[in-house]
Amino acid sequence: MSSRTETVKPPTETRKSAEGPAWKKIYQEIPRDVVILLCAFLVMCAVFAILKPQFLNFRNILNVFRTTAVVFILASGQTFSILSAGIDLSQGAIVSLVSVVTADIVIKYGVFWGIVAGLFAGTLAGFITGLFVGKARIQPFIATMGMIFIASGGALVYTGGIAIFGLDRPIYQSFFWFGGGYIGLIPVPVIAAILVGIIVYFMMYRTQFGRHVYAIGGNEKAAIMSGINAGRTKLLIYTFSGFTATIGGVILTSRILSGQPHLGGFSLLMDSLASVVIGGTSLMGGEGGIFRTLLGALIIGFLGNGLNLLGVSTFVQQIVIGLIIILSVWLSILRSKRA
Amino acid sequence: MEMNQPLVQMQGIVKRFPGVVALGGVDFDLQPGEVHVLLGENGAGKSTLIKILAGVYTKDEGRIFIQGQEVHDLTPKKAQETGIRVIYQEFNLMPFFSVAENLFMGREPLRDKTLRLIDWNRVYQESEEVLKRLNCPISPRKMVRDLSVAEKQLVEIARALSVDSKIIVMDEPTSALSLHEIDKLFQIIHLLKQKGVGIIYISHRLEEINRVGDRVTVLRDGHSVGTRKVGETNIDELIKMMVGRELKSKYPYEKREIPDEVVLQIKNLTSRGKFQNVNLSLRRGEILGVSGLVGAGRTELARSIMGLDPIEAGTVKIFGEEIHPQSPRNMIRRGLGVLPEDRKGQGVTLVLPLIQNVTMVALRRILRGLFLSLGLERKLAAEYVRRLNIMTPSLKTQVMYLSGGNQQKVVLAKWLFSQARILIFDEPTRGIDVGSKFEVHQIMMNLVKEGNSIIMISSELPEILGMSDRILVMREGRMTAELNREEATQEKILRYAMVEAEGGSSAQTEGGNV
Amino acid sequence: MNPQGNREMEVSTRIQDSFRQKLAGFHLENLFLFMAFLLMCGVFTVLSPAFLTFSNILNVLRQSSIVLFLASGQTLALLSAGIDLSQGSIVSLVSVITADVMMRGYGVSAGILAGVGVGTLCGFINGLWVGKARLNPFIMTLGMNYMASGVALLYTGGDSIFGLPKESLEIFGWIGEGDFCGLPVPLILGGLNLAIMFFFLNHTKLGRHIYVVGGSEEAAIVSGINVPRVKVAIYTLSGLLSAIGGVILSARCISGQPILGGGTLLMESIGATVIGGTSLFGGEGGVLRTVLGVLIMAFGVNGLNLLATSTYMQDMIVGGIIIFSVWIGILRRREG
Repeated sequence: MSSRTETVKPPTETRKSAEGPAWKKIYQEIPRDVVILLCAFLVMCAVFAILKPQFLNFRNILNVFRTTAVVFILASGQTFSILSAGIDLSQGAIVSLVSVVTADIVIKYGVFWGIVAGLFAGTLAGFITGLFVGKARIQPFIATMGMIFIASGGALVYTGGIAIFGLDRPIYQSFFWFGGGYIGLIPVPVIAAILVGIIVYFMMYRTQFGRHVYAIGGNEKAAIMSGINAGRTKLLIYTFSGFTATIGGVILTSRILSGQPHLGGFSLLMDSLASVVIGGTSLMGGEGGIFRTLLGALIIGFLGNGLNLLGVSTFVQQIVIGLIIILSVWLSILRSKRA
Repeated sequence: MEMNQPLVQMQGIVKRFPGVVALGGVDFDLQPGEVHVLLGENGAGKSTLIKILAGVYTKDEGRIFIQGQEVHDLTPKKAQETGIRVIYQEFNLMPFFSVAENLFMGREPLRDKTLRLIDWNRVYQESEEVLKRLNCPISPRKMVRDLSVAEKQLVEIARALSVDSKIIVMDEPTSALSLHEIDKLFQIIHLLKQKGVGIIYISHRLEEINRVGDRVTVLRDGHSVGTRKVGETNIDELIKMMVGRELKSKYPYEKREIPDEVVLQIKNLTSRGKFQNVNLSLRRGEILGVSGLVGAGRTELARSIMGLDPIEAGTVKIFGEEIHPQSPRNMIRRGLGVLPEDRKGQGVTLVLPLIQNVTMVALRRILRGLFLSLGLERKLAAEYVRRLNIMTPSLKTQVMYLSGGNQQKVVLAKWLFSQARILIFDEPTRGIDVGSKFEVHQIMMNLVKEGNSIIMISSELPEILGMSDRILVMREGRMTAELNREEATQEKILRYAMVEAEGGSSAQTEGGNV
Repeated sequence: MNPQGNREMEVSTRIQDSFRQKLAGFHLENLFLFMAFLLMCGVFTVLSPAFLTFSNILNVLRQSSIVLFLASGQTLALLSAGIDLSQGSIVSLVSVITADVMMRGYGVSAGILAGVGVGTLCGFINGLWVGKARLNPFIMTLGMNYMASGVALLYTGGDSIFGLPKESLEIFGWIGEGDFCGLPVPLILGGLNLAIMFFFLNHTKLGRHIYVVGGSEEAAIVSGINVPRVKVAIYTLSGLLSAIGGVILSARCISGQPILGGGTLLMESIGATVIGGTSLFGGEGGVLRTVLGVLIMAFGVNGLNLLATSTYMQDMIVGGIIIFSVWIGILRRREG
């Protein structure tokens, strides 16, 4: 007899109007917290620019975009996991695995097969994780944590613990293109990030799969009752998340021209998570999206760069990122209408 | 103890929830050493009254006296300290601990104050004593997880006793017990009575009231209809008291010619522990009402038909095709849709916008090539919103901001969008305001006039009588009756829902002409 | 069944009454686990003669007591349906603080006190946010992990601290590598920890409340348990235990290293707890089970080492076992 028929008060963003110029309509669509985040971002950049004018240097900005690109690629996959009320902790480890496999095969069979092998290895790892979560119904954080063991262990087994060098020889020059090359003025990683972003955009908003992800994250029971195959969707989510980590791994390996079994460490994972979380995608699932993640990745990227220019130790940056993650989640809980 | 001082006295208890008055001024008292039965339909207010006594809810108006002393601001802890103990149907025991640990959970005797160490010897010793007092052969060291339901219940009673409870509330105590265990329970209740313990006994089993009750109070729609001594009343009078309301509400029912075509046929459907040998035939264009008390197995039946829970025996034929409903997708593809009881938990996805909730089941309808066409989605969804008159600031509003009635319409829109032709409504208008209720009923009527078919599970007798073409009644997992609209009355339905049918075994009927 | 049966009887007759009650509550899964452990040891003994030697066993026990400390803290967290992902970096942080204090000449006791204090503080902060601010323990401890590790690195600028002063060196080293009455000091400390934790969980009110909170938070609230306070206590204790583990580990390396806890330590802690059968869902499990998990992992890894299996292969195997254990746990839950 405790039927609570309470109605939650609608948000006070009733600044809707049917008419008006296009830009105004778009502006009204943007949620308030994103606007705040955007402002915070601009303020932060302004502060950095004042303190260190090199911040606005074209070269510097290009560099930031180059490094942020990889984080964004990983974070796009992570966004799917978190939207489904899950998480993928294995992205870092998959990067390591891909790194050694790619490097090794490139040396043995050439650039093309090296990349194919790397893509295969990483996506397979994601697929296995997907089986754990989707079919065996193991909690995502345990499954992906176990996969960290398996993937990084696999990477280390593969190379016996040592790094694989020798990719800097001229024969492999084409490989370097992926991480260090340019298309016109734009670094290849950034192009890759843009491509991934567009693909993810379509997946998330324009396919049945994307809708299913939101539905499962929003209310898994209702989603199942609506006929959605939760197990299959989750399998796809983690396979894709692994796939994005794979792409990131190829790009990073290409940049450093070696196969490093420790390439994708904890910080890469944290940056990926931080981008998603700071952007405002809810850990509880069903709310958020790729644009927020993009904003989050940019914030993380420029924050790190600004702090670097100010000579702040990377360790402090680590502390800051950890703190930001905690605060972002706390804020989203306070704001949350679902608590 | 003063002469005839009541253990509990509740005067003029009022409790309101948003949109509904659960209790509109109820008086109730409990004498020491008596078993006072609390009777009433679902939603009559029994559970609310009890929860107020137990300190789980706070009353809006009224006074409560325990053993002559008025109590204010009851909390669960305070209630327990005053000697009130509720034994819920689901029990509040910790399965991974022993009986003794459960008996003393939260009030373990301390051996050492400073280190707060538990005196286990005392725990086990006192547990043995309490259990012995109840003639209970359970070892205090046994783990609760390994006990049978009857034994768990005994442990709960023992726990109530061990804290010297003077007032024990039993909520449907016999629903999971065998006849033999029920006898034992009644013996123990007798023991308790002799000690002067007062028992508030909630049950739907009218046959038992004679055996164990002293007085009975009937609640209806949040009011107390009357209190009788058990010896001075009979089943008919009690049922009449429970339902004796005027059927004031209007229902948009239209008499129609219903063809013999059977769209959904269920034979001998069984799911162990939930329902047995259920037969049901749903004809095209009809509204089949399914009545019964909470726990009768109706929702479980709907879930199994939908493919959410496994079926152990029996067949399901939908549109003439025999099928094993392994998953919701199977049944949805064939035109089935379920509007669950738990609207917020299973019906809608609160955080998603309205439009996405509506299109969720049949995204293929808005697929253009590889991608979803957002424009088409908006167009189609808007149609359904208009058709069902859903009040919302915009299509993109998250469903959590809509009222209950509108949320229900969203669920309905979802199934209409998926072009479902057989709809199972589970408590379609629970928690909805009167205006929206009528709308929902109108929509249901229009649906069946268009050739769809509806199974309507409802605990509201007026709604069942008002909207159904035929009515099935379930009791404890079995179909006990099938009634035509003309022959059905509130009393008849309630009787079939509560009382063991004549002849001992429950009647099974097949509806429709197959 | 007999050889194992006999050994089991040996074990139980040596245990006191209260222990026996808990043992009597042991169910099939634990028995199975214990037998699996014995079987594994049997296989290793056959395959590698060095396995069953006194020195080998003692060595494994010495190292595993560190994991035991962490795993006991993790058990508390898991029992409450939470988790502590910050254990690794707390170990690192404690390591550098302890070493640094000793370097400044304040002596071993001050060093240990400072280190443990800081570690406990980290745990306390975790507890505050999880208990009071109601943050998801997973995210909170993950964030703390990153932050504490950053603080540790910042503190030393990324370097390790070697060359402790002579007076401190001896005592400190003894903690990690020394013996007391023939048994390794860490083992004795671990045993003490085990006894205290067992006692705490089973014989004190707070210990009980932890189970209730994990079993059903609503039931805990309705029973009047102060849930936020219980959670604060849990994570503070976990921080304390991680800190002690960190001290012992540093003592074994007689140095302060900001990445000391950064390896597989956290995984081993969670793994041992999970393999031992403490449920991720909360409310079920205990330290005795965790000890079993620790032993299985420790001797398992040791056996694989002796068989010259690559450490990386070991990582993979451990990862697989953890997933497997969780899967079993989930299947069991669904039946129950």
